[in-house]
Amino acid sequence: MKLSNLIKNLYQQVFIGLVVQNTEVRVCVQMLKGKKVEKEVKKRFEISHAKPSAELNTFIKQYMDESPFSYVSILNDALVQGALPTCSMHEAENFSDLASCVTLCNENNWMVYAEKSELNALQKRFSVTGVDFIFSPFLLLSNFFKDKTEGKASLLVLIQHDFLSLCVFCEGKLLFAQHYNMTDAVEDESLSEEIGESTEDSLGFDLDDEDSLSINLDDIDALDELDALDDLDNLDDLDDLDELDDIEDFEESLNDAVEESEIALEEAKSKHESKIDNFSDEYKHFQLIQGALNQFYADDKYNNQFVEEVYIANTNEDGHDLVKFLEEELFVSVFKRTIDIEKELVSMSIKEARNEK
Amino acid sequence: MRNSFIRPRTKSLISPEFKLLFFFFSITFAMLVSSYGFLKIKAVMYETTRAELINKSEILKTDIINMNQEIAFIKIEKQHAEGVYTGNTVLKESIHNLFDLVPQKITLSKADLKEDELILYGITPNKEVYEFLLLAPLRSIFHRSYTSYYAMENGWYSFVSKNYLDRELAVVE
Repeated sequence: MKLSNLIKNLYQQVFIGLVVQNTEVRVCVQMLKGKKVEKEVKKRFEISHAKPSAELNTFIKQYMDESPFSYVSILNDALVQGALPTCSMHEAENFSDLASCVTLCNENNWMVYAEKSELNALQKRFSVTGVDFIFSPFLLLSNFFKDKTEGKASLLVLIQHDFLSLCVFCEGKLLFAQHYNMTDAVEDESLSEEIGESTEDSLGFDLDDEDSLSINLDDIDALDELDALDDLDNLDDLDDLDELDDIEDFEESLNDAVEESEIALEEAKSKHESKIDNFSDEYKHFQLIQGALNQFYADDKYNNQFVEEVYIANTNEDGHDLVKFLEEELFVSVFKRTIDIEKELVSMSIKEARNEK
Repeated sequence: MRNSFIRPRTKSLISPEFKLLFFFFSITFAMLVSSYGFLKIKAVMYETTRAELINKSEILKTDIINMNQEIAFIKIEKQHAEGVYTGNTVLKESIHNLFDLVPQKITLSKADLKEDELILYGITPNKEVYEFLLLAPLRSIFHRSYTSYYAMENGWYSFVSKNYLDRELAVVE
């Protein structure tokens, strides 16, 4: 054992994994003594525009100060990144221009790449704490589904709040990979139109059309009291308008009914909006996966094979609708696993730090 | 096989602040050591120079003693030379005086000049010439004078005059 490794093992080592999204950062801190995990801390910080807040920097610094052997690892959130089914730069030119990219060859048969300037920008964003490792989501995926890449053609999907990364593996060899930003404004806009139409079909109402919403509100019990309004049509026929007391009572009941109906309307709206949000996210994911698969099948250079299985790594428990869509629309077997990305990053950085000379 | 796009920063047990502190301390220590070394070398150099100077002074002292001895010897030689010179001068004067004493009629054939005695050999026409013209001045110089005459075939006399200075009497005088 080298002297440096011996010293490292005597000291406590701190591994910090960061997953940066547009509005939040999830952090996992593991403190190791030798190979034993002595402490694990997880925390979530709200940020804006993917820039680390002072609170986040203080939190990271606090743990970095615990040991001279502290490593900060981060998942690459660059837009220009991907993976190619070759390690030869000459062959890679057929797929993408890698002149301004950093490449990493994996298992001597496929490579991941990322734009150099975006890596520098990421390092600059975290310059207060510094960054030791930047991992590609594709390497994370291939490690996470290591047991699933050796068999027949299967699609691996990593779903984050703001990003979606997918790749196709067949017999341990990468065939195809794509990385998408879910917050991309242009894509968002184009998708929203499609999603709008689809949600109309599936839910039976149109968000933009308030009349349509009001029609659906007929189903709400609170509005039943509004049936009393029908009686107003008969006001002209009333012989005796001097019965003012009855009219005042009627006005009060009318006001109450309107207030109740407004409250019920708001509740119904918010309930449907949250449902629509979740649904629209999953539909977006489905559309991206469908589009990527179409691209994979259509392009001859990917040596296309029929994808029979889809493995989804999701950061939360949602995604049932996505599974249903994929199974029904694409006729594939779908398996879903919940992934703790920041913890996976920490595991990868531990391996990387041990391999580092 | 690398999985990260970047290499980790170099990890060090020593913090940058400690490195800075260590750097300044090491500079201070190096300056102290170099000053100590400089002074030590200078001290050794001074010690060597001092030893050399002591050695040199010892040699010079020996030289001075030798030179003093030489000077003393030269002084003695000088005194001796002066003595010889004076003696010679006196002798020269004495001889000169002696020859001045000898009248025209008397001829000296040999003169033995010693420290306290003078022996003259010569010929004189007669004893009276000798006694009046030479013996009288000789007696005034020497304390004792003895003369022996030998008659020659031509009627002249060869004589031997022995004259002595008495040192004790001279000192008393």
